[in-house]
Amino acid sequence: MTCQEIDQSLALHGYGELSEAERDAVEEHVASCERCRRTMTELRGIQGLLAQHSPASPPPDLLVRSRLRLEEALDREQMSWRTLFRSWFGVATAHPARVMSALTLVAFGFSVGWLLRPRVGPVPAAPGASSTGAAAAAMTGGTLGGARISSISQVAPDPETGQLHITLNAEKGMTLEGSLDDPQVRQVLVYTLKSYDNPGIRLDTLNAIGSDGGGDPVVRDALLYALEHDNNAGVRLQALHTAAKSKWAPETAQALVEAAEKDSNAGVRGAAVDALVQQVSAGHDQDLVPALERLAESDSDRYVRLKSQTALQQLGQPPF
Amino acid sequence: MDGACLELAGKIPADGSPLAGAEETALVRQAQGGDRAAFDSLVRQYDQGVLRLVLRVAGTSDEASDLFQEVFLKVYRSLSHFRFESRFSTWLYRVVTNVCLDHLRRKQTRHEVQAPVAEEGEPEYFHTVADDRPSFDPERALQSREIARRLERAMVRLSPRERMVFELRHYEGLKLRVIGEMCGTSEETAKNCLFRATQKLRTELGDLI
Repeated sequence: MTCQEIDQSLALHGYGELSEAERDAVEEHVASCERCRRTMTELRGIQGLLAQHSPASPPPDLLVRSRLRLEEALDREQMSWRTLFRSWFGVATAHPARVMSALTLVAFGFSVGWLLRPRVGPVPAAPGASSTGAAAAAMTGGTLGGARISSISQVAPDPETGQLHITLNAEKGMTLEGSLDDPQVRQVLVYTLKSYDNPGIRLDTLNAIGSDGGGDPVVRDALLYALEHDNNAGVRLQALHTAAKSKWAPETAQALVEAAEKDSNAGVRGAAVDALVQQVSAGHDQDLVPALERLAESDSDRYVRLKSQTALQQLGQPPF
Repeated sequence: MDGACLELAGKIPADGSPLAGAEETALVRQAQGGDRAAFDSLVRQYDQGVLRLVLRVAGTSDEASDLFQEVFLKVYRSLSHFRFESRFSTWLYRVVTNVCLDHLRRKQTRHEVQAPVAEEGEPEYFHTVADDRPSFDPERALQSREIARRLERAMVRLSPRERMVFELRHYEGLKLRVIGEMCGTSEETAKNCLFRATQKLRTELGDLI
C-alpha cells in the first residue's frame, strides 16, 4: 500500500470506519512510515482541537423561542386550504367509493334545493305602505340601508291592516373609536379576548391594551382569562407579559402561579417564572416563593426547573 | 428494520429518552391521521437534536430558528407520504439534511463564503464554547477565541455536502453508511466527502497543532 493510497484510510481510521483487515494494513504501514505517522498524529491533533472547541449546546431560550414559533406556524398550517385539501384528498384516495357516494348525495341535495328555491324579487308594497316601500327601494343585492341581511325568520301579512311584517337580522360594519376609558371600547376588547376566534386579532387586542389597561378590573379579568384559557400559546404568552406589567393585584399573582405550574407550554411556564421572580423582587408577594420551589423541584421541563432554581438563588432562598 | 436504521436508532435524539419503536410508530400513525398532539410529541422527541444540528450549520440563532421551523413544517406537510420503509428518525434526518444542504447551497450561491455575522449583541455560535475552567485566564480566552474563529473559517471552506457529512459523522456520530443514505448518495461518496473535509481542515488548522 502506497502513502497516497493510505491517506484516505488514515482519515477513516480516526473515525473507526475501516474493516479489521484495512485497519491492520494501515497500522502496519504507519509503523514503518515516518510521513504517514506524522499525518496520523496531525489528524488526531485536529480531532482533539475540535473536541476542545466544540460549540456549546443551543441556549435554552432559543429552543423555547423556536418551539413557540413552530407551534404558531403549525396552527396557521392546520387552517390553510392546502392542508384541508390534502386531508380531503387523502380520504378521497383511501375511500373513493364512499367519497363518490357523498358527492352524489351533495349534488342531489343541491339540485333539489335549487329547484325548490324561493323566487326572490322585490316585495310588492301594499297600497298605502309608504315607509315599507321606502325600505324596499333602499334594498339592493341583500343589503338594507347599508346593513347586510344575514337571515330572514318571518314574512307575514297583517290580516287587519294588510301591512307586511318581515322579521330579519342584518349586520352592519362599523368603526369604534375611543380610549380604554370608553365603556364600549372596553366591552369590545373584553369580548374579543374571551370569545373572538381569530388568534391574530386577540394578540392585537393584547398589544392595544398594553400595561395601562390591566389596571381596570374588567380588562384585567379578561387578560387573566386569556392567560389561563386561550388555546393559542402565543396569545397566552402575550397575556402573561401584559398582566405582569400591569398594576399589581393578588389575582394576577394567582394567575401567574397557575401559568407557571400548569400551562401546557414550557415557554409560557418559563416566562411565568420570570414574571414571578420580578414580582417577588419588587416586594409584591413573598408567598410566591413556595410556588417557585415546587417548580424548581418537580416541573416536567428541565429548562423551567433550572430557571426556577436560578431564580430562587437570585432571591437568596436556601437550596431545597 | 434495516441495518442502517438500527445504527441510527437511539443516537440522534440524544437529549430525550428515545421512544420505543412501537410507541413511535403509533404516534406517527396518529399524526398521519391529523392528531396534532401526537405530532407535537414527535417534535418534542427530536427538536433538541435538530436545533443543535441546524444551529451549527446556520451559525446564528435567527437562521437556526428559521431552519428548525422549515424542517418540522416540511415533516408535517409530507408525513402522509411516510410509508414506514425506514425508521422515522432516519426519514426525519433526511429532511433535516436536505434543508441544511439547501441552506448551505443558497449561501454559497450568494457568495457568502465568509463566516456568518451575528446580530449586534448576539454571540456567534462558534464563539460560545462552554468555559468550564476553574479560573478564567484572559490570555487563554483570547487564544480560545482565535481558535474558534479559525475553526469557523475552516468550516465555511467545506462544500455543502462535505460540511454535512462532516457534521453528521464528527458531531452526531453517525456511520457513513447511514449518512450516505440521508444525503441520497453512496457510502463511498460519503467516505470521499469525509476525506476531503479532513484534508481541508488539516490545511486550515495544521499550524494550530
